[in-house]
Amino acid sequence: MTKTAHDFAKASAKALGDRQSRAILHKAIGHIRVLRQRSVNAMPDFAERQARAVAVRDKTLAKLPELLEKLEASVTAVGGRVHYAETAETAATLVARILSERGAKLVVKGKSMVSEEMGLNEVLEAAGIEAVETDLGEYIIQLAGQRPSHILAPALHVSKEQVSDLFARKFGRTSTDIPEMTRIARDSLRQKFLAADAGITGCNIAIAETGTVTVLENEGNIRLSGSCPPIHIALMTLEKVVETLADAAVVLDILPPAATGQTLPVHLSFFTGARREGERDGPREMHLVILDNGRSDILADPKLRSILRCIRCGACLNVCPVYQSVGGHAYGTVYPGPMGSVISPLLKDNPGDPRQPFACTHCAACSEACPAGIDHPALLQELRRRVSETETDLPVAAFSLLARHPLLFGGAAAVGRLFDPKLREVAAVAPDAPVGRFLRCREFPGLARPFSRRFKALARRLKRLQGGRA
Amino acid sequence: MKTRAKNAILGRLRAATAAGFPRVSAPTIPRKPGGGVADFERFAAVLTTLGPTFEMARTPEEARQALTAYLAANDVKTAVRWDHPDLDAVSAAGVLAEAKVAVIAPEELPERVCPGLAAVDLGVTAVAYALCATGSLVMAAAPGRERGTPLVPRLHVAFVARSRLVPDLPTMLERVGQGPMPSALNCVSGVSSTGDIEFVYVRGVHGPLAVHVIGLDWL
Repeated sequence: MTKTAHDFAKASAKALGDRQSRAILHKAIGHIRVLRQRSVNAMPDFAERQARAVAVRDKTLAKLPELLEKLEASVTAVGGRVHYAETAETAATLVARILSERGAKLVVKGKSMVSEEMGLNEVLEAAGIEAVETDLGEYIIQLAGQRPSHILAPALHVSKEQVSDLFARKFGRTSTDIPEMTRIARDSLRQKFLAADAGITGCNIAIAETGTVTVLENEGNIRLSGSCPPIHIALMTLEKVVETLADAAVVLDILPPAATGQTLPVHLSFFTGARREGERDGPREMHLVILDNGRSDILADPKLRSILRCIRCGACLNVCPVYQSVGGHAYGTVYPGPMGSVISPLLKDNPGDPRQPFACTHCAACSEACPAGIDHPALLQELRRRVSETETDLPVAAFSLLARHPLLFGGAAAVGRLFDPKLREVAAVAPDAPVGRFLRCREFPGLARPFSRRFKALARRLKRLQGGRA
Repeated sequence: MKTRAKNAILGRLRAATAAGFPRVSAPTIPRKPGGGVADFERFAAVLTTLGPTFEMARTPEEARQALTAYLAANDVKTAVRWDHPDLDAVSAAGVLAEAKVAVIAPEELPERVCPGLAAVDLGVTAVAYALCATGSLVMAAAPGRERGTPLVPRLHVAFVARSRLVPDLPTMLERVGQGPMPSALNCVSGVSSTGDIEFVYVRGVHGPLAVHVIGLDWL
């Protein structure tokens, strides 16, 4: 996998022009937000749950190396094997090797963003292994040859008509009735579950003291992937561990309500190692792959490490005005939205557009929604500062110069006034010049009457509005 | 190779945490332990909002009648069952035999269990715990208690004894933590569902299409 040169500005401009996808996205996001709000309102102790979760995440991060060693010992004790991978590429190669050595030809995959991060499907395909996504949304995306657009709802941007056409092409069977389309997918995937040589799942929470992989879902595909095939490979990023079952309970208290507005998902599975003596099903072999991919460096960074508290609930995506406008694909990275804008530039593989942190309005809806207490805007601000140290943005540099020299500022404003309010038209002559780029998506303030001249009148008006109070 | 990656990663993590992390800023608020309700009324009320159906049996005979009626109403021809004392308490095996249902007992299962259950109509299980706050059935894998039984067949019937009721998930995890973890512990709240196409909610995606719970009031 190579680092992609992704242009968020171009991709988002294209996304903004896609009215159909935007309408679907708005409807879906609105729906999730209502569910979540209803769930939070029904929990009078939500703030307490949140505080407990933040404390558990911070405690975990402070003991991370110790907990990972404990996790490895526990997994090994229950018949599992633990593998570490430095990069996404080595992780994917490792998984492919485990499967190839065992002659696996067909693999079922539960929804896992880590496997997306690894680019696993492509690597398995190259190794001659058929990897089938089994979450309905992921399956739709895989059949369509696309990438997920949301970390919880991968096919959020696809309309039912598009799914119907897709199924007609792939299965020769279709419907425009959503329950019937779901049944078509169920029938197709069931054959895969039953015939699969191995199952691959993600891991929402790994429990160090017991060696348990905890996964949450509504469909049951992860439960099937971890239960039916003779081999189970679970994938996790290294910060997903907690110390005890009690710590896991604290995270589980907040994750489903924050993610989908549920108290618990339909399926909450605790997989602990391989099948035991005398058991007739469950995997004979269980592997846990722990991926770093830049996260150990993030932990060493005091200003940014709090992003590792993230429990991947997707709440920040669902309230972000930028995400809601452009959708997940515009980001060009596995993780979109506010959490993605923070973590993607810090990952070793596919960091996306280095200027991604600038796509933020600083409205702080994300930090308010985050159950893990992450202050995304502050982290994005820090990332912006670092980007600006390495590259010069002409309009910003020019403004910075003017702001530090009042005389120059006054002079520039006077020049601007000559053109106001036609400045936008003047800038359109050279749309790629700094001023043109700056004005492309900004309302320029009126310059005809400078603020210094309007100040007295504004002050009088304010006083009137305040009922004469000083 | 394997050890090299592990050592490099853990080495970086140790260096990152050695400098000392700031003390946890948020207070660790202790949870109020097990203050919740654990009774069938609460459990059934939540359970039935999630898709499963529920009926209460006050005696072993009522439980047997409930299962017999369910088999007839759902055209059950084949079943697979767990080996569990709560099922013995209602003579589930006898009820299935009387109803002429072809039953695969745990010891008769094929080498690959899940494919062997694909055409089976019904999986009959008990539970390790039932969570009242969330209407959840908690099933633990063990010899004679296959993971596939409540997962692969078209229908699932679970017998829930009163003694298995606990208030909520944290209480259940606290109890589970007192012994070794089973290889699989599945906490199931409702019927498998999805909203992946335009957020239209559909039940019965990958697991059983319907779940029926029979409460055992005396057990």
